[in-house]
Amino acid sequence: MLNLSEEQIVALAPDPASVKAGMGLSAIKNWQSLGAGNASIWGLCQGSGSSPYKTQVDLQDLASKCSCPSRKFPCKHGLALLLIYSRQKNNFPESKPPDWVNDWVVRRREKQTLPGIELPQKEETNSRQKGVEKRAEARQNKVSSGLEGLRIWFADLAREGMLSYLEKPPQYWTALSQRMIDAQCPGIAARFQGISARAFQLSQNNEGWLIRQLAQIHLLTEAWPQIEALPADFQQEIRTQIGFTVAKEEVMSQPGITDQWLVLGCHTTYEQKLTVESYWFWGIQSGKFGLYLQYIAPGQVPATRFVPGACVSGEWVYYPGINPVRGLFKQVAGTHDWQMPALQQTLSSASAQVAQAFAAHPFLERVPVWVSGVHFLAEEKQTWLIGAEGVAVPTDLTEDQRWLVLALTGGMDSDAFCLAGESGWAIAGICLQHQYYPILS
Amino acid sequence: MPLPKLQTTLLLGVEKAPPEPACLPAGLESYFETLMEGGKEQGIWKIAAVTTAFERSAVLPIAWQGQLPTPVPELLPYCSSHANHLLEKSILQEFHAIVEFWLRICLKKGYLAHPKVLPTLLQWATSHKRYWHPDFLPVIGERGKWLASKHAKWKDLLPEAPVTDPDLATGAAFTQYLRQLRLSDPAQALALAEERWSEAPVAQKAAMLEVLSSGLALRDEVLLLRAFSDKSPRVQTEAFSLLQALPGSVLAQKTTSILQASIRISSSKILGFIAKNVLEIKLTADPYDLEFLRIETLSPVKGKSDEQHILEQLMAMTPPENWLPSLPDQPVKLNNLWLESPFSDFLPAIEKAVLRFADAPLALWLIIHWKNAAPALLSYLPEGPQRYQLAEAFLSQTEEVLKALLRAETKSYWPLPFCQRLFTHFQGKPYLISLDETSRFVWMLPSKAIDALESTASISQSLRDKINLQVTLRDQIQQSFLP
Repeated sequence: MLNLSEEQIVALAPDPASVKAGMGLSAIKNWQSLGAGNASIWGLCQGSGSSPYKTQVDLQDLASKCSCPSRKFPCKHGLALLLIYSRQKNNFPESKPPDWVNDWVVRRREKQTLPGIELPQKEETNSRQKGVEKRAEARQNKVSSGLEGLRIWFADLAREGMLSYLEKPPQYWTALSQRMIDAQCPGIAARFQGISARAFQLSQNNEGWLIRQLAQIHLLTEAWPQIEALPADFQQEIRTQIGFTVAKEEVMSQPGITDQWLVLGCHTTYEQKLTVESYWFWGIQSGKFGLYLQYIAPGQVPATRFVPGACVSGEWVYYPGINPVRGLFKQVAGTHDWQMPALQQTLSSASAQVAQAFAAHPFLERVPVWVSGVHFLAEEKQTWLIGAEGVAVPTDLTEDQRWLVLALTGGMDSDAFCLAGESGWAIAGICLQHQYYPILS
Repeated sequence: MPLPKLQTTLLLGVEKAPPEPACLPAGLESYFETLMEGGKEQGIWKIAAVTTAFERSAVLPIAWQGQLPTPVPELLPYCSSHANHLLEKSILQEFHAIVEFWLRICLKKGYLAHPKVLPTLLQWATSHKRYWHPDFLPVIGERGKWLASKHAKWKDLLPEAPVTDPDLATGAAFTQYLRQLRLSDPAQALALAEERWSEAPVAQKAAMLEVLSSGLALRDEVLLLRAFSDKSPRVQTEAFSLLQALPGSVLAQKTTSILQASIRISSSKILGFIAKNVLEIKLTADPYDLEFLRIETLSPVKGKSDEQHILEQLMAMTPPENWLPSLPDQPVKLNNLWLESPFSDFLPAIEKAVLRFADAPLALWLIIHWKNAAPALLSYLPEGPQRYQLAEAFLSQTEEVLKALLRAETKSYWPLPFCQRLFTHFQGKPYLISLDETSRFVWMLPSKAIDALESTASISQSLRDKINLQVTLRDQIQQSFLP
């Protein structure tokens, strides 16, 4: 049984305007009929059109669908339906879902390969297999040739010196990025695009940052020719960093970890035209972390939504790589309430764990880690995480996050889930008196 | 930050600054030759990669010594999570009057807002000071005060530190000190105000007069007369109001005596038998007194005599009880004298005085007897069915009725039938609800009024939804604070 608070439902909204509109529609009188069944809820909402909008929510992963013209997900009708359900479950009589609900739910679950439902296997003919191999070989060659070109560029750069490159306009770095797209190395292209975005700041004491970025790209150009000699997890990591994708089906075929996964927080970023939602999870029994990346194109329906602070029970599977964190749910059984277990880990010990993770993985950006009994201390613009043993690490909290953390802790010690980065630790959420408060946004 | 030597080599180029073992972090110099095997152009980048990885993995926490903040225990309990959620919702929807309502209830019930809503609440309070009252401070608790004290803008919400030496205090701090002193020792407060008067800027003078308005007595008259002759019109006006409200002041005596001498009821006999009361109006005033009172002696309106203009000004500035017989207690025959010409021309001036000096009995009398009475007078009627019965006569002036009723002291919801009739007058006046000052009217609507509102086609659906949502929130807020 889904047991979300209004607050958690509000967190699902794509923007404040949707919350406002959703709340306006969250009175029963706006709905002609409501129903629940097969882990889904539905309702008919009278809008401005002649026929009512058909709104439905899959309670397993809170995905929603509505016949209204809105391109937001969930739309105001989806939010309103969830809000009514959270307040007055009695108004949702259990019944067999109508066809328009049933078809959608069944289709979704088939796609998610939930237990008991076998995906039809594609029959690979010999010629088709050959075609795949041929295309893979062609890509290998393109990548090799592209990276060889990049090695020459690095050699020129080393000879000339980087001084004049600090003044290069963004277009210069974008052109390099484009070359890497042509060489089918989208991972490296994205790194050059990142440099392009900061091009105007490079000459302002940011040469150290540029050196680090270029050193990592160079490391990939060095690793590629000798990839066969590397251990399997490194091979996969290098391929991922260059931009080779792993088919979701391939990941799904790996054995997973069944656990209660706490949704630590969701961080939304924008890459080109895509919205990227990064959901961080922590398995209560396994103690493992997980990162689920959801790429949403404009107008596209997000495959799923998770509520920070809620607990998802399901089977999680990791993408291959070095100490993998990124993964996805192979199966979601439902969303539940939960209670935070007592955690014990000092800041020093967590820092050592972070250092180890960075040492093992040269391309790692954030190391998820939890610490217990820490204080938050605000000094000027910097907020510090202070361990009871007398050590401190800088955080990279935003202004809003900083005040929220200070308000919640008020000088008390707390347990914190952190995402340690090179320049500071982000705080995904804090635990106070067995209650979890998501901070990441 | 990469090592200085490595950075120099990469910036200048390997020709000008050839790589050397010192480009590597200490302890890794022995790998220099291996890394340079493919040539110095590729080698320097390998060194950069090794150094980057080394630096990333070698960041350890710094040693820290210092004083951590001590949590201050709260004395009051936190309100329910549902109540907190409703507060966040009201702030998000920008229903400022509902937020104010939430704060009032929370304060009355003796609860605290949860720490997680404090940043949102403090930010709202800073941006909407009109709705935030210093009395609400207990709602944020010790945690909220501690948090506000650390923020550059939020700390303005906290009271200033108490003044220990009034000689050093200025501005708001001095006003606060003077206010407290006025309550404990009015004469001492007056002495302090007199001492500071000549040096004080206009705003400070106005603030001092506002403080003196509580516990006003004849001993204050000297300073008030001094203020009345101040250069600033703002200070003059403030002082004039106080002098008028001060029974027995020279100024009040002058206006009262002029009005009493100028407007008199006399009895005349017709054919020596039937007595008839007559209201005589004739300005009887010393020109020097009019000058002292700063009365305009020339009428700016064509058709209005100078005499009438002078009397109107005097009536508007004098408490009616000082010179006018108690009209509600007079026989009907005499009442008519005041309602008929020529005195009826002065009723607008009397109305101004009623509104200015909050004369409740006369407000009621005017509403009942004078057809041109303004809805604003409704503000002074005591709460009860009569207030709403009388208000119905003004419903065509919907906005004024709303404003007056919202100003009036009200402890219970407006009667449902009144609301139903009020809504029928909303047609074509959607701005009524969007006005900030009238948004408080959702505090006054009984829940059942929403059904009446739903069937009122005279206002738009979006407006109905907005009112509906606010009334629903109000009811939910009340429920959420029930034990």
